Amino acid sequence: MSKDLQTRIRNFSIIAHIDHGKSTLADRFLEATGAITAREFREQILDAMDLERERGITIKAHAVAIRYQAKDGQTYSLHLIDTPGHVDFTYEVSRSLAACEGALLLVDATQGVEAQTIANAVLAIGNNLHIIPVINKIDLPSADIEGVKHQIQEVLGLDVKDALLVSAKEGRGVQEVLEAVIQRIPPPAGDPDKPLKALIFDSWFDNYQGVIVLTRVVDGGIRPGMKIRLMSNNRVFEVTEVGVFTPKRTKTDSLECGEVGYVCAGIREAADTKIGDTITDAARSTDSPFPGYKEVKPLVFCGLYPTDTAQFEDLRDALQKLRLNDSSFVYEPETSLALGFGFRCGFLGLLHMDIVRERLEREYGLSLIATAPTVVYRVLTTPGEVLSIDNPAKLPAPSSVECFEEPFIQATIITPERYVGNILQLCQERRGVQKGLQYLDPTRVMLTYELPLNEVILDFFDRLKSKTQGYASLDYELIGYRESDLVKLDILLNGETVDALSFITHRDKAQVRGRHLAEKMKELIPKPMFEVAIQAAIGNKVIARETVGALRKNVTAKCYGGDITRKRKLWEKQKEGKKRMKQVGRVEVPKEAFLAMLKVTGE
Amino acid sequence: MAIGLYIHVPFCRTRCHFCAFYLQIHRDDKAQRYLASLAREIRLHADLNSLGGRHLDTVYFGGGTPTTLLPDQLTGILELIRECFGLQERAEVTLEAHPNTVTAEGLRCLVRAGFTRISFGVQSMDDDELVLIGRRTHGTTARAAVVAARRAGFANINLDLIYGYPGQTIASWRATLDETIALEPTHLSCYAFTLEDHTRFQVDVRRGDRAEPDAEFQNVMEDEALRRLAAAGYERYEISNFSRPGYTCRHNLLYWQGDEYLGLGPSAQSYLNGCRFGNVDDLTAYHRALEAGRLPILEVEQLSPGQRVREAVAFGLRLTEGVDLGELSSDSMNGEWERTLNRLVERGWLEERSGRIRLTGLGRRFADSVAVELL
Repeated sequence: MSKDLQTRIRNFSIIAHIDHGKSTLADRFLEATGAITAREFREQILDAMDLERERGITIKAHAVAIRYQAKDGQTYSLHLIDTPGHVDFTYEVSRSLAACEGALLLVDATQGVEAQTIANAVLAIGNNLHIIPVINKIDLPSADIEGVKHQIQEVLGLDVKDALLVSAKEGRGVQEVLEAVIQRIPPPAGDPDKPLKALIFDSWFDNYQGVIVLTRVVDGGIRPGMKIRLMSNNRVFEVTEVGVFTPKRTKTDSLECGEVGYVCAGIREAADTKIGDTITDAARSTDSPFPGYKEVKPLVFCGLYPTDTAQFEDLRDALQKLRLNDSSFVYEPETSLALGFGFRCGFLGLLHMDIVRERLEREYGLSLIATAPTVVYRVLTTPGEVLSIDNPAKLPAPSSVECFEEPFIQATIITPERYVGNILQLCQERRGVQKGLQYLDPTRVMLTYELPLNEVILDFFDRLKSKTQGYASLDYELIGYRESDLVKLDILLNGETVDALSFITHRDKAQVRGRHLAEKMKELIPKPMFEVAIQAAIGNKVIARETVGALRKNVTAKCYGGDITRKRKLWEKQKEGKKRMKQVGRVEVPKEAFLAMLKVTGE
Repeated sequence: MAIGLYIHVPFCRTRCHFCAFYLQIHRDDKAQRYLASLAREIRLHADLNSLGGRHLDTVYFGGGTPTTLLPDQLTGILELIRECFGLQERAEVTLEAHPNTVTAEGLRCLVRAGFTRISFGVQSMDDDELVLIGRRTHGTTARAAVVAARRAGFANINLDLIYGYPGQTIASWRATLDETIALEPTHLSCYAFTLEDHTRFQVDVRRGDRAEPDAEFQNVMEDEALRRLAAAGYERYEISNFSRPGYTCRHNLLYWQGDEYLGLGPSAQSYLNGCRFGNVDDLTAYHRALEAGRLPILEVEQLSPGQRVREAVAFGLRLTEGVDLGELSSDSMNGEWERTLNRLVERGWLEERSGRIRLTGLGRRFADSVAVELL
């Protein structure tokens, strides 16, 4: 490709909070440039997976190539790189941003700057991206354009005098944004004559092609037939196909210097293609690879068990297949006295965990029991060992524990001023330490807190939303381990410890959590034939007890012709429901009970 | 195989606090229109030969309160049934009645027309409790109605009772049982109170104005009924039904024994040729269908042979005599099913004797749990 063509490439992404209109704006770009026909147009095209659509968030990054004829008469290649919009996927965001020269900072004129917007904008600034502030939803009566400009300037220190005003919904200002992308975002630098150097920023598994890699070519170029090497593991593959998404997958002859597109090279496992890794020419290696991929470390662990023990092998197969597509989760076999054979799985966060579990159930037809999520604790034992504990059941006896450490995060919360009191209370309940309180404008406040991660993974986000009527936003980053006074809380059914229900908590919280959990279990366990005692205990000390009374009768009094079909259907449903129960000793425990912990943290 | 006909009369004068049946408050014009639609429905089935030419063993007028209709109207329907389907010589023809809605003259007229059995909704003999459950009647009215029915020629009389609702006491239940037994009905139905959706009772319980029914309390009351009724010569032949020897309700037996029946009127259910189907439970839709010459059937379900057998067991076990294992088809008797049976026997809910399985005394309290296991 000539240097001239390279000057007509623009690589950019859109940074926005959920619901601030990113997908709508992306759709408008595609429409405005004729990249898709009306028939192909679907709302929010870039969110491909069903789950993403349902949850209204983007999980996988995507890149779309758009040809755009600008006002200067030239035709430009725009590459829009979509980024995940959730804190669980921060690393993926940072790598997507690394593939760009610029970013649109999209802010809802009625909502203002949110925590994730700030976090991602800070990432973009750190990647030396040129940032164009774009204020969306200016058509709405409650739009506060000046206020939002002020926030962007105040919080991010960006110059807002050239901020663009759009209504993605109505299509207003979209053309101006595309022109600004061309005028303000620099073309990719890079040298087409140097050896190949390309950044992997996403990959997924395709049943026909194997792994598809999304990449940004920085130096050199890629074409089919070429032998490439992945620098993290030195594995060599032969390129079978390259191309771009328009948004349909479209083969091209090559990916040239500065371009963004996909590469297929007969790679069979997503785990080989680490995000952040460098692709180079197998014959002629680049001498300046990217700083290297970061091994994404799971923060949240839980046990996944088949409800029907016969599905263990199916679960193993499903996990294997799913991991081809998503190398950011990990799993290894474990056994539980209560649940039998299953897997301990690690995820980037709670959302990631939910998504993986839902995909396993939906796409692989499995019925799973998930145990309460836990973070990874560090235990210093009296013999001087350091253990990483991702399963409460593996905790050594208290007598051999010298001390505990738990992971802490720094959380950034942005909220309307009137909810500050509620949030301070919530953070305090969750053992948070306030680090900052800053007014973004007279009505909006940014709070900074250090919090133990284990207080956040359960239901912190839900509680935050409910205490602020959905207005607060949250972002966080891990800041390391700190010593903490932790205990293991066990749940006993009829005197037997149910290992899958044990969890680790701060000593000060144990009493209340134990009591709430016992109460919740009582609600969830259907009336058994024999009385069931539910106890919460720390070591040998019982701290709470509830009793589920025995079922005294279960018989329909009136059962005539009109009742037969109705009753049979009800009984058939109950029979189905029994399959969702796990027999623990003599007690039938519903699947939901193993996640009861998520429901009881609200003090 | 016996075959029966059920007629649903969807009218009452008032709705009781425990009732969730499909019904409307009676009005003459509504009743007129209903009778016209019902006649159409009967004729349509006759034209379609739904019963395959078989004459009816039993006819049952239920509701609602069939006796909100006038005796002439009731006998008119029965005449039409006789004309369209035909009745067996010794057919059982039952009429459900509210003690407030019968007269000596009317009862005589019904007996003459061929009604052989009358079933009064008594529920309680205690006037305060009748108020509590929303029945605007008195114990003395029930007593008078039973006497009048017998005098009019009804030799087969059932009384319905309810026990175990919040507000009732053991003492009042004993009194109701004793006063009822003293009326010497041939048949008694004793229903444990059930909190149904969309009832006044349920609203009250939700609001906290009434307590929820207590299962243990109901068990105690049930034991009380079993003792007193047995002593008075009544046999329990189904979970909630008791009779003097020879007076079981032949119509209701059809339901539990997996026999066939046709149900007419809004919300009525049918079982013919292995197929369960039901009418719309809405008078307007019922009229619309029949006035357009269509059957008002809403749902049809053809049972598989396996389903039929499992259903026969689940409902047959409600009968004291239980189910004949020999009559069950062999393919349903697989190992899995066998193991379930054994487990239920071990638990003390089922017993197997001379080729029949039946619920034990304890098992009768968990009949639905057993059904869930065996379905």
